[in-house]
Amino acid sequence: MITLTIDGREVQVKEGRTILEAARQQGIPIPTLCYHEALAPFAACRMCLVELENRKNGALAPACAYPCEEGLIVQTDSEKVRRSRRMTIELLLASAAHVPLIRAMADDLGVEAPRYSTEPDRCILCGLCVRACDEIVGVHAISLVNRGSEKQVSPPFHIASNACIECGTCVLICPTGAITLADITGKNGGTVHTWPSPFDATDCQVCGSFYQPALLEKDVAR
Amino acid sequence: MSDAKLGIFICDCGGAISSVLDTACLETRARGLPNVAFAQRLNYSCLPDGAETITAACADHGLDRVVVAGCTARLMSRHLQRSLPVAGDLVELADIREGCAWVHGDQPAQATAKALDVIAMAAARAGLGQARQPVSGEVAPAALVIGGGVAGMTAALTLANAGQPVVLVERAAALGGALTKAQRRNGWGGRIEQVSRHPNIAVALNSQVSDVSGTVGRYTVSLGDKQFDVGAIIVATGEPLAAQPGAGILAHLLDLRQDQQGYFPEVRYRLRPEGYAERGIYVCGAAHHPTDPREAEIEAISAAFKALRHLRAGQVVNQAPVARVDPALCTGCANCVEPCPFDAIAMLQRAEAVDLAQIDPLLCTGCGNCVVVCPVKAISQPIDSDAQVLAQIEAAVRTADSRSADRRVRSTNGAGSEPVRILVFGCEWSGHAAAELAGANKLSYPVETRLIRLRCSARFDPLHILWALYNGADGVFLGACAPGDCHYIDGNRYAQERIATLSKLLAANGFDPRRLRLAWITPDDPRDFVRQVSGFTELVAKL
Repeated sequence: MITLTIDGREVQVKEGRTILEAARQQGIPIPTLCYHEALAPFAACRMCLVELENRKNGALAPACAYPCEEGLIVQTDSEKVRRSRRMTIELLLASAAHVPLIRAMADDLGVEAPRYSTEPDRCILCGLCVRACDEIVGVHAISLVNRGSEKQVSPPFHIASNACIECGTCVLICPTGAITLADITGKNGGTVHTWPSPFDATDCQVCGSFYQPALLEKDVAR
Repeated sequence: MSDAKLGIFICDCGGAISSVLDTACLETRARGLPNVAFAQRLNYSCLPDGAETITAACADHGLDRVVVAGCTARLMSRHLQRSLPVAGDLVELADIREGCAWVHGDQPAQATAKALDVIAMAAARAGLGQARQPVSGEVAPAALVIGGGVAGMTAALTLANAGQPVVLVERAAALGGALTKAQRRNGWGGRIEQVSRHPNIAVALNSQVSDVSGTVGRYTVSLGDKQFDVGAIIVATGEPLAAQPGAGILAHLLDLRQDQQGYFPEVRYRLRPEGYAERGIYVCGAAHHPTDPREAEIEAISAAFKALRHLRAGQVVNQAPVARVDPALCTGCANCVEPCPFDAIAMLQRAEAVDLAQIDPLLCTGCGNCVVVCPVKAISQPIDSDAQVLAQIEAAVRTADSRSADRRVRSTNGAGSEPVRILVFGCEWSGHAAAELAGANKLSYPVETRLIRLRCSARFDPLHILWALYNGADGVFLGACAPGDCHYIDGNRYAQERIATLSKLLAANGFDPRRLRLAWITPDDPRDFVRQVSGFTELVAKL
């Protein structure tokens, strides 16, 4: 067993437990976005950052992934932590202010209007859908593609993925309602669920016998 | 009843559940359910401490199956199955968060009564649960490539270079297919040389596949009077297929779907990967759609690598809950053959006995259609067995307790009418998925509903529906995939026919057929689900 202190409360946990797990068992609330109990920790959203008071000059660490250590003193709601969370939620507000969950979290942290704004986008890149598709469903039909501001969730090459089984687990786990089955990538118009549809074919106007896609007919005739 | 020893674990979920439901009451009442040897409230079953507590309880009380009353099965069951010490199929989730606390938050008493029903239903199901046995088969270490054009030659070379023995069958007297003379001069001709000389490739010219038998993993191919076994078949017959006399026969032999032009579109499973065995049949090149040589080449390489992965795996495993035929009961009526969406059932002719239905365990995906059509109930399934579904229905409609809670609340609210009980059968890909999504979005729907999840709407059994209505359900709502969306090809069409027939029967026997409704549900539109279920409940309440 390991003994640590969370918000002044002495807590005993088994080795290997994360700070978030220890806090949850004690009923100490830590806000999360990209965390799900059924998935491996991802530490992407930075909402669960807590202050490690006696380590690394009081560094902030993601509670969902940081393992408990003997003698660790954790603050889950210090001014430093709140400042960091306010910044995180403000950046999320820039694109996802119309999402009720993000709005509610911002209200909790006292953030009203963000100083930044970008194109509205429900997706907050928490990666829950991508990880659920991989770890729960086992098909890995979608992934996080590109870097930085170009990052997005997408099936390979932004086209309908043959691996997708249309189970809707991504829709269910998405905390912001960003996914519908018909269109996962939005901007690029790619879908995860259209079937490769039989194309219309027609007699070739040149040789008269071979079948060709109707789409190409005009080009050939020309 | 069974001698199962059940443990029930009820999550508070850090207040997400216990702030609405009386979990202490649920814990006490759960102890009184049949076969329950142990019941306990936990803060979180999903966290490692919770899993350890459950594991310890299993050891201490000799529990052989577990019900976790918590959140949605779709997200949590796999995680729990991995972390608990009983077989995956013997872990049941009772969804009291998305199914009760989050959707009936304004009616805590009725929500708690519903939660007790939900737990009783899961317990009844778990008590009769069986662990499915995965089925496996060997993969024959050779491949057949049909067609000696660019696609066929490329696929054969890719496999042969990877060390797999390949038989390349070509109908014409020479390799090359639709390549023009110019194309042969400009580089493609070299490929014909390579294929003819490759030690791993046996080329059969002037030949056609006359028969394919066997099953997934080991197909026996007849080439005239020669026979050999292969594990993978690549179809690269080129275009135009509609004009080729052999294409239809080939499609029939390999059970490929042909579109109206005679092309073979992709065969795709929309099932979880463990739900079926890889068939080992691939289509590439112009047999699939019109291509130029370069594109055919790329497709062939892709198909060859898919085949290679299948061949190198050495075995195929099917973890679907495979249906089984009881030979003592089967009357040989062959009703089950046609409805099987994956052609897994064949009739075995026996001397001095009636025919016997045989289910290929590697092809069965466990949709349950055959279980429903069998007139003598000779076919059974380890998951969603008749016994399980009937027990769930009984638990849902017979719990007098939650009805009296309904009544109490209604009388205090001044609503005079008798409470109704609605059974909602949901296909896990549509109706049930939408219900879970409604829960996750906290969209309220009538508290009178009790949800039963089935693998496919093909499993909506008229007998179950009758059983529910005769035992006190006031209405039965069936949520199925919209036409064309069925994951088991056309299970919803069968459901539609069955419900239509049953409605007529109900009317003839004094039941109002409006008590039964089949609805097409979109899995990602929870609002539509709520609208439809609410409308149905209102209607039934008025009858």
